[in-house]
Amino acid sequence: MLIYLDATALVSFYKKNEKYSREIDIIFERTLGKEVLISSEWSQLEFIRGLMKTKVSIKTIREDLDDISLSVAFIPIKSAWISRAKELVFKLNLYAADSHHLAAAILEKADVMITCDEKHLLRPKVRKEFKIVSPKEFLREYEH
Amino acid sequence: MGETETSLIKGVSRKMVELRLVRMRELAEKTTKESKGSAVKAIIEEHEEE
Repeated sequence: MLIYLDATALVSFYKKNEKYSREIDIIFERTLGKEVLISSEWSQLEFIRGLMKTKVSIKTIREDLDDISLSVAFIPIKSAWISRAKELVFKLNLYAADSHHLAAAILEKADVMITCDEKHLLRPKVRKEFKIVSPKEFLREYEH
Repeated sequence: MGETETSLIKGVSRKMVELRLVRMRELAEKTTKESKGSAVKAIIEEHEEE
């Protein structure tokens, strides 16, 4: 299975007090060596920004990012993603970063996208476009 | 997804992957102790500020 993680899912592994931190931790453990975790290289910037805003030291963020790069395949941004993302912005009124993640997941043929962004990517209208789940929903399905 | 990325992940031994997970958890503990507020919220807010 090819699993796309957006930046909110990635930072939830490193921040233990996030809503889905526990589920993300279990996902990393259960999918170990079985599934392929992918994300866009752009997620690395969002990952850094998210942690910097919560006052994590730059040294720690660098260490975190080096480490997560060993377990998640960060795919370089492709122009085809941007073309698809433009259409997704028109169609779903998504923010630029969200449309880019969705386009990447679709065009890289991921089986599912995991996100903690309940406000935007987990809206019913967006979920009609692709299989997008919260960490909790993913685990429920994965276990059965 | 290209074959290269796939083989990079699947090519490593389970033991190696497990060691990585242990290391990631150690770092996560450190990050959590240092941090304040929600990183998820910070990312979502940044999207909204675009």
